[in-house]
Amino acid sequence: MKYLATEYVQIDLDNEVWECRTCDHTLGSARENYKIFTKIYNRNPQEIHRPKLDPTKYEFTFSPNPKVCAIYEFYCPNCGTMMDVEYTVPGALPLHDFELDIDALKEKMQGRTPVVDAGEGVDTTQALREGAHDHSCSHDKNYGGQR
Amino acid sequence: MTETNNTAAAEKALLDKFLKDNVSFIGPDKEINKNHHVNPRSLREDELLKQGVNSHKMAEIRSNLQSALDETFGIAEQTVASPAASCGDMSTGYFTPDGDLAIASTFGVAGFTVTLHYAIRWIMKYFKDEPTVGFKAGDGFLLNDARFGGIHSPDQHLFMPVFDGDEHIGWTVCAMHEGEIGARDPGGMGPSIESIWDEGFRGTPIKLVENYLIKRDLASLVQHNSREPHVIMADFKARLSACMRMERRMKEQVAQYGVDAVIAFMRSNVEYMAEESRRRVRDLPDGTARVSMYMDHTMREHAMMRTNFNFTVKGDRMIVDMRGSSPEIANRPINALTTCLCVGVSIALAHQVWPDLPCSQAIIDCFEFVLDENTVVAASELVPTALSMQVMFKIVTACEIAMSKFYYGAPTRYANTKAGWFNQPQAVMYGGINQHHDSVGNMCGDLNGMAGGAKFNEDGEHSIAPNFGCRTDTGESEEAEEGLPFVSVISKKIWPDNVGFGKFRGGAAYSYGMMRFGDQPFGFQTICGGSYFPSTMGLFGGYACTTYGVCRVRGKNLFETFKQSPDLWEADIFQFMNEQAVEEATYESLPSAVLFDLYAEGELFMQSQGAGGGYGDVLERDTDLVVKDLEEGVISHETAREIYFVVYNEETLIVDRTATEAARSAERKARVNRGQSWDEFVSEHVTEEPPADVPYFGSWNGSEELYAGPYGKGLPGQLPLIMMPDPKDVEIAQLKAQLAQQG
Ligand SMILES: [Zn+2]
Repeated sequence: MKYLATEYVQIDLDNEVWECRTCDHTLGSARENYKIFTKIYNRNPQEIHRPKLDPTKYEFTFSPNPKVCAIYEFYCPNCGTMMDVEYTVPGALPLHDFELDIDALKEKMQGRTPVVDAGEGVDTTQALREGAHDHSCSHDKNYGGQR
Repeated sequence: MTETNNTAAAEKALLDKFLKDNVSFIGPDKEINKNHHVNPRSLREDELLKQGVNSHKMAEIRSNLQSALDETFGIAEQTVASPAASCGDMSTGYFTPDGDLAIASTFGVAGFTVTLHYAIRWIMKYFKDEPTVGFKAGDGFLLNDARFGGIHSPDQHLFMPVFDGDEHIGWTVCAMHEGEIGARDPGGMGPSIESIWDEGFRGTPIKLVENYLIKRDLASLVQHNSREPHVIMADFKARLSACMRMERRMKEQVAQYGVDAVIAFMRSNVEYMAEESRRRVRDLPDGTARVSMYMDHTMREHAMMRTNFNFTVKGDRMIVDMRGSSPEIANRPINALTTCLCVGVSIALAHQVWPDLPCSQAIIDCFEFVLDENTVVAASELVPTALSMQVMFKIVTACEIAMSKFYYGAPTRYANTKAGWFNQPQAVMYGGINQHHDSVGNMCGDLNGMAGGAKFNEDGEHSIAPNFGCRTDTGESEEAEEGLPFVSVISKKIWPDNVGFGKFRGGAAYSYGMMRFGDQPFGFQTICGGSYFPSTMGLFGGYACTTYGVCRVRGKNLFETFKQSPDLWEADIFQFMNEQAVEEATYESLPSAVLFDLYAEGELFMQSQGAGGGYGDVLERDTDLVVKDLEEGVISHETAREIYFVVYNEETLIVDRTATEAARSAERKARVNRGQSWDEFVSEHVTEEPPADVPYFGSWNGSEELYAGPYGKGLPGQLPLIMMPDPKDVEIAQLKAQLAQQG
């Protein structure tokens, strides 16, 4: 079973590995930070957010200050898809931003159909109908998609 | 038990009673403030719910009370005088007698009512049986100090108990951002607030209303402590009439369905929300989503203050670990009470993640918060918190991002997966005398014009709503001009590249500029960070928003210049600042926290709202959408070419699809070539300590010690009181040193 963890990485639950969702490349053990298996680039933030004010005239130019801000870009080592970006202070260790409990996940997904497309999971009223509370008939009418 | 023990116990009891009866000051209650959970059922509630409830009857009562709240919200929003509340920065709600929010208005900012259970619990604990206070039908308590509940001191709330005969059956609440409460800075919050004594009127719960009438002695006390006494009175009345109407509508329910049914509904709704949230958390994958962001300014000086939010799902519990966040700064207003962080999570959940659920503190009943005391996320009562939303807005974004990660692959989701909403209070605050000769001090409703984050399937909306409330309004330039002595020279102008880039882009946001008109004393200030380091974040490879600042042109009456060059009315911030067309004027670009100052006629003050974060890899953006962005002025040609790698004719905007595919393919290969392996990257870029020339606050690369800028580092709880020197003194010292060097 493949579990979609993010827009760009999935977990092959049978083999317990991270995979690129764009090219199916196997990244590495799902019990580790997937970023360890990516290619990482230390980007000057001013290349993305270019100064809007003349830097010869002003210190503050509507552009991040590279002294305190770096962009870490994480690429699939096979296809070059940008899997994540992280804005951080120069010198900081990349953040272990998403860590799934593989054993608990396997248990939770048993007998359930995994989502294969990002848009699939949204159905509030259905969820409320299936909700485990005994007076649900009135609640789903009122709260399902109310706002 | 021996006789000696008996005597000792009796003496201790006597002493305890003496101390209890002789408390000289009843202040904020730490125990109350530490408990964001739902109260246990009262005996009455337990008996009623054990009998079972008729769910159809409950649904009818809920619908009726909900419409009562929305109706009173609508009326109050039209009658209040506070500029923020008249843009929807307010909320109405019904609470259970013990202080659980049973139901809040769907409109406005539910965050105001969501954090008031603390205050009701406090009133119930200290004033209910206090012979000199107490309460009965028609009484109402006013509160504005967040240490008793609420977000920060510029917010004012009115609570009124509802009785059925002698039985206290609930509370009505009307809560809002009032603004002016006599703080050091106009508008109740500002960069120069350096101690709790600068925060203005520190209103504990006081019984302002008796027998449905506002007591003029107490009203005068509060009014006299504000630069806007007339606004204060108008809003007292608006809140009172809202609460009275809510009371009437609740009593109608009692008449129709019986008091038992109304009490049972209130409690069952609280329990439903708590259970439903727990069920939803249980349904998420177990794991941890970590979000770290930085506040880059104390409001007086640059500082990189880390905020750490690690969300862990463990069964049906959600643990929010905020350790590693920056130590509190004792003489700056950017600290927050933990109660404020709790409400930030409720707001993010109710507005962004579970929009079908009502907003209530009950929806975080299964949440636990882990923190270190005396940090920006757990400030002590002795440090100022007037700008606590600087911290609260960070946890709103962190919660949005963490929940988007948990929900991406989850079998059921309740809202769109999306990147961070913009999260700075990017509004101009003002103070002084207006053209009607009134004393004023407040903020412009532009604060609400934040842009939305990009979604997994579409772009974010431009300047649509604040991150703390999805159903509010944005201030009108014309309305501001009617009451305040300035002209909107730049009125809500979108500028290119003010979006978070990605497969789907974040919403764009408008800039604006105010030019002083008239010669009365009147001035501006601003209260934002995000001028060095982007404030909100993208998702799954999408870029963040950019950074923003304040620009001003001073020393010349620009109305004269505009008369000679009328086309300047078309100029935007960047044209004014880069061209410097007005001779003899001074042009300044500043970080977004600008101290209050008076401005002369014709001086110009400019700022911009911020963009939403982007979603996904920029190379996957549909070229048609890139062209649409160009046509609409949302991005520049440089961005289309160099970030989105689209090859096209700049005149006709016709895309060469083959060449674009080739350029994007080449860029993907270039990424693989320039990217380093983890080990290479860590050895080349990661450092033991924060950069020496960066004033860093918080944990570094997982350190247990917290860094504290010039104060070194130490374990949480072992750091000294952090008092930043006055930046003006620092500058004077530097200048003196320069002079000394020159001999
Ligand atoms: Zn790949």
